[in-house]
Amino acid sequence: MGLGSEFTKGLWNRHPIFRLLLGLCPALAVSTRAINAIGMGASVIFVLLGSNVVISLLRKVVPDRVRIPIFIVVISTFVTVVDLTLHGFFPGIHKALGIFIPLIVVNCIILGRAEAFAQKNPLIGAILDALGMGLGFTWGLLVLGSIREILGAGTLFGFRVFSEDMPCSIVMILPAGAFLSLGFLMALMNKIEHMKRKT
Amino acid sequence: MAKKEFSDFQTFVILTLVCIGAAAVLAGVYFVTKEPIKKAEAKEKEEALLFVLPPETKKIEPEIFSFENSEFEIHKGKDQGGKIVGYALQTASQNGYGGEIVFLVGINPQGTIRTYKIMSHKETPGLGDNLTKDEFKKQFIDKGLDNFKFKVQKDGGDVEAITAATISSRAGCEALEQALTIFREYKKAGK
Repeated sequence: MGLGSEFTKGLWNRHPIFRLLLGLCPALAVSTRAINAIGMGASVIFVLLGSNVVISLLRKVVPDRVRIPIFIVVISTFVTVVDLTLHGFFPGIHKALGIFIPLIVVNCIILGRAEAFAQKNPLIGAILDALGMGLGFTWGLLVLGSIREILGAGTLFGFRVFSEDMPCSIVMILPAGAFLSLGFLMALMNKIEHMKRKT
Repeated sequence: MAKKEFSDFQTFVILTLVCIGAAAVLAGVYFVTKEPIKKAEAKEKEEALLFVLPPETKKIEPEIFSFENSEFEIHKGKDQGGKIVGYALQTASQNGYGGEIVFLVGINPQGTIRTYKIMSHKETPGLGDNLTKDEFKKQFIDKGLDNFKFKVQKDGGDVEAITAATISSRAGCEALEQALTIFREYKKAGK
């Protein structure tokens, strides 16, 4: 795989949410509003970058049988750094994301990329992989969050899209709506891929 | 490519070094963010207090009030001249639909509710979380224990519950009534 595709694979072909089905818990729980995508996306990109870089740099000195504990220590350190930094300097975002910041530690995308990629690839590849996966995760959250916010609350990024009188389906903001949105988006993506292959 | 075999001792050393490194980074970040976090939390508290206390408030004085084996923090809002214009008291109900709901209640000197702010809750968006909206709030303004029954109409009280969110509404009543009750005891204690 060329370097370029290490980056782009996370944006579409190997999209972490819609293709790899990783990180679904935070994706579904946090995508109630479009704005949450920015905060969560930025946090995940930072943690992914940090952990991929460190694990890639350490890949030759990590004994195989203790690699999981070492990965987890690295990942949770970066997550804690994000948690403390947000709490101290961006309290609004910290409050909005709440418990889902510490849950980034068990976000499968991060451990998944560490295990499947960072521990076997040099630094440049690890960086590109992290950026691609992180950005892919972010745009996925943005689309999910936008759909759920528009249909569930009539706003987008807080701005009114539908008038106050238009009925909204609250279910879109609730877990059921999250699964529905995810399902439809995955089907849409599969359809696009299917049509691409036909031509 | 065969994976390098590490001896037990090497494994031990590597694990220890990784953990020491992580601890060092965490300690550093902790110290850098300690003050900003304290300031952010204090700011949030202050903004909430200024919201529930009347606008004439120029100074906020906290006071600890002990009652029935619990301690309550009552914030007194004083105006320019030092006269108390309002009180703020934090109470919580554990009976929300999603669990604990924390209220910061602004109380007028005569014992009626000025307004309140919900500090934290896990209620359903669009349903229980309408506790935070003026729609629901406004029925409590200037109401006290003497002129209002803090129960939902279903339970024989005066409170118009949120449609399809009776449990959240009941929890709200509970927290507000508790605030006024504690305030009454505080006043009785001669403060």
